[in-house]
Amino acid sequence: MKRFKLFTMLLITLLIVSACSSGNSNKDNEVAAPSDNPGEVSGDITVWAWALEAEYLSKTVIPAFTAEYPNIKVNMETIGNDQIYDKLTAGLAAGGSGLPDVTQIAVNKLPTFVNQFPKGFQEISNLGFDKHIGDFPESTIEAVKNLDGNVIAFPRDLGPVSVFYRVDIFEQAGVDPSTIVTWDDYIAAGKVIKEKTGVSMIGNRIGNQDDILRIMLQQQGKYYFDAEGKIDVNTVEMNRALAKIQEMNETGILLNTSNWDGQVAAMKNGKVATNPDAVWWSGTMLDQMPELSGKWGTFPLPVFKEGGVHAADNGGSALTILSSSKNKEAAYLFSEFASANTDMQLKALENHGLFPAYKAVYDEPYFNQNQEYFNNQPVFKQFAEVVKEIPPVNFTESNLVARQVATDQLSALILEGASPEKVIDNMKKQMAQQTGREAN
Amino acid sequence: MQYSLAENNEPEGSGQVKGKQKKKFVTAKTMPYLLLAPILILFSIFYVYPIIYSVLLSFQTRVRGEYVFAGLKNYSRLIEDPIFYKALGNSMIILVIQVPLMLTLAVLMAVALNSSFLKLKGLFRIGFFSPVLTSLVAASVIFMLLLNKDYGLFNYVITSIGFQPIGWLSDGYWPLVTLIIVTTWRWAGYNMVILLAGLQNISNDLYEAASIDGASKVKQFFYITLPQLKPVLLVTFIMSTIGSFQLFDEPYTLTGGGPNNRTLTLTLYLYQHGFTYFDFGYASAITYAVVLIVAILSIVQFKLAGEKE
Repeated sequence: MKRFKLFTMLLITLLIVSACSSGNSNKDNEVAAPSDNPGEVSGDITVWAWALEAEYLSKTVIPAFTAEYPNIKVNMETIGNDQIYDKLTAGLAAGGSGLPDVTQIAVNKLPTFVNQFPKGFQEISNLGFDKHIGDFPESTIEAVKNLDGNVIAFPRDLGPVSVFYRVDIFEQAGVDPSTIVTWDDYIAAGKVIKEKTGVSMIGNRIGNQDDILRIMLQQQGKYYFDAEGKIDVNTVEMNRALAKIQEMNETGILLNTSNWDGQVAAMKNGKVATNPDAVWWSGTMLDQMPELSGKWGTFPLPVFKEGGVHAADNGGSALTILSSSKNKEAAYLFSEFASANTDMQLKALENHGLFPAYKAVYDEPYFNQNQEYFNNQPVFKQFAEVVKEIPPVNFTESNLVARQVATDQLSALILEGASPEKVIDNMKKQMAQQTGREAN
Repeated sequence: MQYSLAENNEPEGSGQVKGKQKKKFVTAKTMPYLLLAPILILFSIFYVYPIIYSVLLSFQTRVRGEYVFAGLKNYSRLIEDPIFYKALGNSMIILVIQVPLMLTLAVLMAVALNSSFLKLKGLFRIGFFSPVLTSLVAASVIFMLLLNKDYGLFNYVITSIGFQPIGWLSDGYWPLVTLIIVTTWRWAGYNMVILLAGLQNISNDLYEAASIDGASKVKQFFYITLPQLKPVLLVTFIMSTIGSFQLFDEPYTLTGGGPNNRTLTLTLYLYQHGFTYFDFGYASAITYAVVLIVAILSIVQFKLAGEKE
């Protein structure tokens, strides 16, 4: 019967983990820095990536890369996001068989993988990546280090956060977005818009995401963990964030969009007036709601107190070299080319809507251009400004557990009317229980 | 390995001296084992070994990528884990509400499809069985569209007859109700087929005799059909009980266990720990808790059904 499949799958994975967990060796971590002569390096490498990144790598990077390194052949495999993690887990557990040389990985999943397979990923600091460190935001570099503090992944795209808003709906309600500075202003504007147009201010995939909470915490320099990795939810900042979310719900300006498709539909159908989220939404908006061109604009993330930080980061991915790679030199050159090259990074944004983590390109003229879709605003410049201010936070390898607990408790806050104090108390208990970490 | 298929058990004419004869590998006694060997070897590798290994794993925990012995830590953590109890509670609610509901429906469908006056039986049988064959991923995409709070068909119908829209996947206990509806939709047909086979084994003589004695159709159903179906019903009941503790696909694709764990099932919870958080030790401990619960329930069901005989 089909229901037994999962059970069997778990057992088989356990078997593989057991058979091979001690098989990883560190000997391959000693690799010489790549040669400077492009013609000298040769070999085949395989790369895994999903969606937009896969398109970027295959259509933009590979042609340019093979022109420069004619003797390196790159095999691109486009694999779904979830499947990549399943295949990586199985391959790493089996001691590195069936794995590519380079793979894309979400930055927030990296610590979990690195903790489970400490020797599975190639350190790149000493391969020459150190010279690029200053070209990436500090918060991103911190997120791609392993337990020993060495960089193990090339940051690719980032998710700086601003508020996308519907220009036409704001005009109809007579609300000027430039007057929205604090979250209180945001809620007040939301009430006016709801009253005059019937449109909700914000959509939230309740039960499916904790994005808004993480954004509100990060802009205050906080996260679920502190710098030492202790659970850090019993804070004034957390209480403030939860109270604002609760207020949004109670004033009726928050629409429950249930899941990703619901959120896209709500935006497309004009059910929500704003979406405070990451720059990568622009890709989905251009793709799924082209008819709304010119009707969307952005304004900076509201703050809790005037003078507060308007910046947060939500999402982003990186390229990482697997320790099992037989051709690390070529893998390094390819990943470096795809992540720390001005021309490539510009094309990633221009052609594929992927906002580069590589800060060095932010001064390029493209960033200052007005975007027709976004009400002729220079939105990418605004997002680049955000990147400079993003406060670094400590994800830890318990990130996914903590996010699940926070998502659950956020549902309790919104759907069950739990108080922020109660939510904090539950979060603290459950996170401690689930992660075995100390709590502040 | 020695193969001596050519030599049979009659040594005459083979040139061998009696008493000195070599022990034959293939005999009437060993043949069944030889034939079973391939499946037994596969079974040992893919079932027995992992089952034993996961017992060991449930006493281990991971420290920086290495599994170390942790005694009963995983189990003591399980006993104090409120989310585990929530998942257990959800599974219990599904067991108590969904299983009887589904089996009642399955019996009614089976009886209807078994009746002599029904036309187009094949069409109906395929129709009721087709949810089992449908890809649940595709089905759940459609369900999510139908159940959408703002533009779903379900709510369109409900609001057009004057009721408030329902948050099928978000409000109060509705997500669990939705899960029960979808699970019933998916598995009722499967149980119906098993029950239908059971119905066809009931002798027509019983019904004939009952009709001659003047028993109504309803009486025949309660006094002939149900008692005769009991062994088959017991099988479907036990399978559905196990199924409700292993419920995974439906909540995984529809709700992901949310909101706030209201549709979290035990299997989904162990999947989260195993495959999302890589905590295989804890996931194994949850597995064995599920095994224990299912074993106890199955024994209870067998005993209850047995006593009535």
